[in-house]
Amino acid sequence: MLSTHRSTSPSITQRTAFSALVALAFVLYFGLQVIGYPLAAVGAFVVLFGGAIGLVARSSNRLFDERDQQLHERAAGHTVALYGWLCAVAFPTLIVLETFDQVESPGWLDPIGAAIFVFFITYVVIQMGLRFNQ
Amino acid sequence: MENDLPTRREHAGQSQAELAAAVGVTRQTINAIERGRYDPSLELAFALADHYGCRIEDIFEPTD
Repeated sequence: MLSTHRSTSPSITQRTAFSALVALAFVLYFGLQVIGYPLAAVGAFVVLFGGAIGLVARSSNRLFDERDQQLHERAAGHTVALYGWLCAVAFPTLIVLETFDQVESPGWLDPIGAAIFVFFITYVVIQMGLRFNQ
Repeated sequence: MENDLPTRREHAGQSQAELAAAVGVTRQTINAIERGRYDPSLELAFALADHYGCRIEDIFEPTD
């Protein structure tokens, strides 16, 4: 007689638990900060994110493998490309418009621009390092 | 790439989870390979071929 029962793989449950812990860590981190509890936000993040890392470290099953690594690398590549194109269009356009007094650049954009610059310098340095070692 | 992994696995009486554990990946990766949605690394292709005692090209075939 055929069984219709489908057992749940332990690795699926643990992957789900890992994802839930990470998601909850970020939600609580931002949520508690927004409502004015920054230290509680940091505490919750450390506990939950640490729990997620601990889950991976202590698991007897393989939770992530080469496919997850490939997905991570592709997502990271797409993210860099997306922000690269956005910055390549947005910042020069803003500078031109500001030069001709069409818009006034908000002050909060300056640290974002600086952070993105540092981000891309880091990317270039890491890529050069990888090329050197290949 | 096309592959006959489902046939070989079922012929061996293995579940996806058992094959995954044998070659050191997750069940989701075996499922993705069988559905043609993921091309394994050379290392994993060798591990699969070694597991079934055949050559890589016996399992995988490039598509046009």
